[in-house]
Amino acid sequence: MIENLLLQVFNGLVNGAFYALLSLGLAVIFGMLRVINFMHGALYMLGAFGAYLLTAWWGLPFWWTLLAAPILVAAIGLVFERLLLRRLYDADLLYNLLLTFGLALAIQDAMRIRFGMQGVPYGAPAALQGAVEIGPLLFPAYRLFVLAVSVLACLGTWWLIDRTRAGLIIRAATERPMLTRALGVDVDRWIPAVFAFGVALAGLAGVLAAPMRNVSPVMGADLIITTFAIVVIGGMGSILGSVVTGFIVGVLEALGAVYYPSAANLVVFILMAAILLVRPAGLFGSADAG
Amino acid sequence: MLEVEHLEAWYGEGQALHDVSLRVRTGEVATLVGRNGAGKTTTLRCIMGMHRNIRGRIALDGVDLTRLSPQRIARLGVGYVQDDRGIYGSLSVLEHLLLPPAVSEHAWTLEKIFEVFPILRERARYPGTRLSGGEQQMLAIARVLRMGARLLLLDEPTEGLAPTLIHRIGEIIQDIKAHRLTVLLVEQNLRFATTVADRHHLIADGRTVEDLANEEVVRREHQLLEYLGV
Ligand SMILES: Nc1ncnc2c1ncn2[C@@H]1O[C@H](COP(=O)(O)OP(=O)(O)OP(=O)(O)O)[C@@H](O)[C@H]1O
Ligand SMILES: [Mg+2]
Repeated sequence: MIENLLLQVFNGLVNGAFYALLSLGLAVIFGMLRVINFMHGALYMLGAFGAYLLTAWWGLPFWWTLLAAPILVAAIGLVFERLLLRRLYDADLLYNLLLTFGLALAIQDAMRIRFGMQGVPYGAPAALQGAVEIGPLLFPAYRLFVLAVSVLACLGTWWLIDRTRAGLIIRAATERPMLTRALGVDVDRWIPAVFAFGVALAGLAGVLAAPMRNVSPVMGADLIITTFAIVVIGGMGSILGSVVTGFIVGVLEALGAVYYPSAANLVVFILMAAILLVRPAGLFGSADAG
Repeated sequence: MLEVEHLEAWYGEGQALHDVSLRVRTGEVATLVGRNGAGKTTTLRCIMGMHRNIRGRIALDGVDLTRLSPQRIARLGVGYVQDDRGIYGSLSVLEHLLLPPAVSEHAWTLEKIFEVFPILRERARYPGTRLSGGEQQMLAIARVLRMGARLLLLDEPTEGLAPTLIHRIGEIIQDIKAHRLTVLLVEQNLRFATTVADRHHLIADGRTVEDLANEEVVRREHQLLEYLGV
C-alpha cells in the first residue's frame, strides 16, 4: 500500500521533471522577453526528434544527443527569434503569442508530413535499462536518470540566474524592464541568448522524453497547455515558482490518476483556479512584477 | 548644461505637458516645483527617454536626447531616481550597485559609495526591498552615482521620509553638488528645496511659469507656498 503510494509519487516526480524543465524555460523567456512562447511544446518535440534523427542518421549515441539535440533546438529557436519574434517586441503581447502559436502549428504539421502521426521508436541506452533497487522498492533506472538530469538542470539554471552577471541582468530586466534600460544596462544584448537557453531546456526535456514517451509530432501539443497552467500557478516569470509547481503538479496528477482517475487531467486547472483566487500573482509571483 | 525647450507630451489623447522650458547649468542644483499633477514626473520621464509621445527639444551639453533610448541617455551620464525609488526585490543591495555599467570616468567606486552611504555596506546582502524607505532612497541615488551620472534626475526624494532623513538627503545632495554634478530635483517641499537648490522652476498645468533664483524664492516663500497650494 505505502509502497504503491511511494511509487506513484516517484512517477509523479518524473512527470514533474518534464513539467519543471518546460515551465522553467517558459518562465525565463517570459520574464526577459515578455513573450508567451507557444512553440515551446513544438521545440520540445523537435528535441525528441533530434535525438531520434541524430541516432538514426549518424549513429550518435543517446549520451551525445543529450547535448547535441538541445543545442540544435536552441539554434532553431535563435533563428526564429532573430528573424521573426524580435520584430514584435514593441507590439502587444498578443502578437508574439499568435506568431509562436502559428509557428508551433507549422512545425508540427511539417513533422507530421515527413514522419506521420504514428511516431517513431527510440530505445533507452543499455546502461539505463532495468531497475534499481532502493530499499524495498524497484525504480526503473531510466526514470531515475530523468529525474536526476532535470534536477541538475534546474539547479544549474538557478545558479546561472542567482550567481552570474547575466543572471543579475535577467532578474533586473524581468522585474523592471524599462528602469533596467534606464540604468544603462544593455538588456537587448542578452535577449537572444536567454531565448536560446529557454528553448534549449525544452529541447533537453524532449531528448529525455524520447526513450520514455512516444516520439510523435503532437507529443508537445499535449503537454504545453498544462505547462502554461504551471507557469501561471508559479507566478509568471518566477523561476522557483515554475520549478516547484512543475514537480507539485506532476505528483498531484500521478496521485489523481490512481485515486480519482476521472479528474486526473483536471488537477492542474483546479489548482490554478484555487491559487489564482487566493494569490492572483501566482504562488511565487510578486504583485508588481508586471 | 541641460536644455529643455517647449517640451510637450501626451498620454494617449490627453496632453500632459504644454510648454516646459528650462535650463540647468553644469554643477547647478535646480528644482522643478509644482502642484500634484503639474507634470513634474512626466518632464523627468521625457528627459530620460522613457516617454515617447513628445515634441520639443531636450539637449544635454548640445547632444539632442529626444530620439535616444533610455539606455543611450543613461550612457550619456543621466541618472534617474524615480518617484517609487525603483528598488528590485530580487536583487541584493550590493547587486543594485553592481547592476549599472560604469558610463564615465565619474563613476564612483564601491569604496566611495560605502564611505558616503555606510548603511549600504551594512545592508549589502539584504534584498533591496527589505530596506526602509530612507535607505531605499539612498540606494537609488547611490546606484546612479556608481553608474557615473553627471546629471541626476531626482523625483521627490524626500517624500514620506522623517525629518532627520530629509536632512540626510539634503546633505547628500550638497555632497553631489560638491562633486560638480548637476541635479534636477522635483520637490513639493519648498522649504527643503531652498536649502539645497540654486534655482527653481515653477511648473503649473504642464507649463513652466517662472524661473527664480534661490534668494528670491526665500524672500517670496509665503506667496509661493500659497501658489503651490501646499
Ligand atoms: N500614465 C498616465 N496616463 C495618463 N495620464 C497620466 C499618466 N501619468 C500622468 N498622467 C497625467 O499627466 C499629468 C502630469 O502628471 P505627472 O505625474 O507628471 O505630475 P506630477 O507633477 O509628477 O504630480 P505628482 O506631484 O502627483 O507626482 C497629470 O494630469 C496626470 O493625470
Ligand atoms: Mg510625480
